[in-house]
Amino acid sequence: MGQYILRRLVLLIPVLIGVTFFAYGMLLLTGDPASALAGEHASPEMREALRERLGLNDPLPIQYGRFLLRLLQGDLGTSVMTRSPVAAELRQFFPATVELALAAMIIAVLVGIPLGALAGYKHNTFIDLGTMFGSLVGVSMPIFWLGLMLLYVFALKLGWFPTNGRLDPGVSLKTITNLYILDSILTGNARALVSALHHLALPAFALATIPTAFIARMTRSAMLDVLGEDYVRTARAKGLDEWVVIARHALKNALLPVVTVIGLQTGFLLAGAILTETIFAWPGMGRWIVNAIVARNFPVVQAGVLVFAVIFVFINLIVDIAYAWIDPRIRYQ
Amino acid sequence: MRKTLLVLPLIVALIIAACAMPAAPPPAEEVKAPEAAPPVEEEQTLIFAHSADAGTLDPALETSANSLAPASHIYEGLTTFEPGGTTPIPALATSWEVSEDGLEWIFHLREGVTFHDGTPFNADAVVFNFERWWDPDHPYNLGKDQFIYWDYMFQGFKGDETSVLAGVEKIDDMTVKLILNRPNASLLNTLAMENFRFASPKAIMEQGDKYGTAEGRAVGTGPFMLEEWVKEDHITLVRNENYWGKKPTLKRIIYRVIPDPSAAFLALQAGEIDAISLWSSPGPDEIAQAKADPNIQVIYNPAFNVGYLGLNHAKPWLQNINVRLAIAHAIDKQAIVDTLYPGDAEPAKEFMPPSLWGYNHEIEDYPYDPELAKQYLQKAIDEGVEIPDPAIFYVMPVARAYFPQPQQTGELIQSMLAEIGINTEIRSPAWPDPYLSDLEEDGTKHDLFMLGWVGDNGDPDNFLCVFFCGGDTSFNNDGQGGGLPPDEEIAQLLRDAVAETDFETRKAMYEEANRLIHERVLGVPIVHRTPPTLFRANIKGYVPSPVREILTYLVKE
Repeated sequence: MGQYILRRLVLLIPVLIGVTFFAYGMLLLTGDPASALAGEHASPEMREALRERLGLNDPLPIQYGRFLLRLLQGDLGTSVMTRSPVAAELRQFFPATVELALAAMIIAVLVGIPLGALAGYKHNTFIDLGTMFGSLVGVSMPIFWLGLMLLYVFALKLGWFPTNGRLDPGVSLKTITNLYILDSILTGNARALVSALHHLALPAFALATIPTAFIARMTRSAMLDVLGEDYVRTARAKGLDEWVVIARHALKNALLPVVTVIGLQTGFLLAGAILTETIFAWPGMGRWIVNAIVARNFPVVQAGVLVFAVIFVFINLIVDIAYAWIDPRIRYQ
Repeated sequence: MRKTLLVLPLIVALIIAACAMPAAPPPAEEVKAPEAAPPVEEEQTLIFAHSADAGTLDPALETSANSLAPASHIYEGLTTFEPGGTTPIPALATSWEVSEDGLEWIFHLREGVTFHDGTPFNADAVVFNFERWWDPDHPYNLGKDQFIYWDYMFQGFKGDETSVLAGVEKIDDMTVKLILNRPNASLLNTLAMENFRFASPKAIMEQGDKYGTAEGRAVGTGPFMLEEWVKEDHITLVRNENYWGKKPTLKRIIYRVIPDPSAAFLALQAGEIDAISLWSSPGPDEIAQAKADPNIQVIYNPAFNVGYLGLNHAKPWLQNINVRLAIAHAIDKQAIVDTLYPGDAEPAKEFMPPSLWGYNHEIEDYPYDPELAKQYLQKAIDEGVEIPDPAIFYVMPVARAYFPQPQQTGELIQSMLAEIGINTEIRSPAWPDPYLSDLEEDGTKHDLFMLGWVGDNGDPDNFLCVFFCGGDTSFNNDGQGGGLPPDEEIAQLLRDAVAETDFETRKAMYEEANRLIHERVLGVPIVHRTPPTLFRANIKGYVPSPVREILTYLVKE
């Protein structure tokens, strides 16, 4: 097992080299970064000076080599737009996205798995059809529209939740990890904790709709498969309590494909939920990267791509390890 | 099952560890949001939404409104714009004199002003800032490509032949002299721009490259000081208790980033924010809702832009005045405004907005009259002019402040021209290039074009000379890619006007230039957009401004 993990981690290196090189090339192919960065008012001489300073006049492999060299020294570069170290921005925006994504994923798992299991168990009943209809709506609902509707109903009309941001103006918080909920617990700041949770609720709910629907559908179909298996019939024949049959024998075996879905969806959520972050003015990765792409702020794009690649590789690894854990028949050589 | 449940916490733990790891060496930072406002009058906080965060708060480096708007409350320059207009008035200079030849400007500085870090504002600070912007060899100049607006407004750096500035000198502690290479009467307007406002030399020397970034500080002399900046979230400014001028009632201004205009509007309706910037004002439906809502005020700002239909005078058919008159009479500007602008624009008759001095209020626009237009066109054809079929019409593919719906505007103009017998073919190459390079660097591909301009320093030179002094070739070219003014007499008048230092004479010259541009139909101005700022009803004291939304003296009731 240890060797397997090590091998997977070593495999990460060519993957990262590949994606960052690809991202770098793509960015340069889509137009001259100097024009976008300098703006419409810049003179040709200025653009040239900018190109020179950013090293854009060198051949692509040299530029890329320089990027790799700096990366090995732990330097992600400086954002062209804000002149801040990219690493400093990453430390701020990534935790914001992590907080949102995890909250959404927790909602999705807590709602999706029981609902899916119930729907599978009560196959072809009103509950099943209702759940499936609901999840279809969940998958196909434009998140932009849903977000605005949530704001309209729960923030404006009912006044239960705030419309934007991560904390109320007037609440101060000493940040350690930039995960505000964790930070407020670590510093024992109850007021900030309440405010952070309050601000997190609506965006997390909006972001959770699609993964909830996916997880519910996946759990349901896996349950349907499993419920027809011999071992379930055996379990029932043994006279086990129905609850034990469902939870220990059926659901446990049905979860294998669900774990894959959870893993992939977590990856997608961590890659930044650009629409949710935009609607709820959540200062996270998605907006950061998209703004950077639009502005050709390539040090930021590079860092973003790097982070996403690491996330996906790690999540895949965790999912694979989880497989072995759930299903002892699976062994990695 | 037990094992399964362990997977999720494992992911959670891993990710939290990933977040916490880089935070290990750097010290914990204090994110200190403003204290909740107690019900005391001087503790008022105004929350102002804009659509994107500032880049840096060093205005010398910035061109975007999102950076310059907070900066305009932190920093001050020698001059500033009068509230609601573009006339330069004293700020950190109390008075000034200009030499006969217009080449030497002496500024007397305001006494008793200190920067937010307690250092005094004086001639040394002024010289330090100018040299930082102007001299690429200055230790705190960040490179020739960095001070974009300096290069643009002063046309070069120290050592460049084109540079407007020839030198800056301290005369005594409270007097400085700017020496120019050639007369430039728009200097006072230019000096009012946020880009040329003074930062504390001490702060710049201490912070170097970090100055003005979220990791550094921003230190000026203005009525508000930077208190906190959480990137992509908010910038909090706090009142400068040592301000030399009138003390604001507001204790704090929070610039909050809300990227989506509809979400910003909901936040305004919910009363969570106090205002929405004109740069992120919502669509027509929401403006209509806002007008019907007693809790919200919609305040339109005077236009600081022009969207126009350009005529390429390098093309023989457009050199004929009757053709140009025909086009002027063919365009129903009111219909364009009524159809495509939700109450936030006015038809344009000149190439600069009416809020600027030098605008000629006596000009009457060519009325929309297709019959008259056809007669003019026939006259031109009788004179032997060949009308191309189709004429090439460049319509921009992206929205701009002055043309929020460029394609629809282009199609309306196309149909209006077709009505009098001018057939056009619309082309919309990619923005900014090749659209702009086709128009400005090539100049041979197009007959008609749509383009516009948003002002920089509020000086008429910054509108009229941009178009008609021959700097770019979209209106005309010399056949080899070089600029050639469409009308040499008007170009000369504009060049003389920028060298004229007597304000009244200069103003009259621009009024005359506007009259000539209209009479000779050098182009067809279409629209001035007057974008709205939205406020909660209890916010008082906003002076609509063409240049910048100034929040300093707003009051919450």
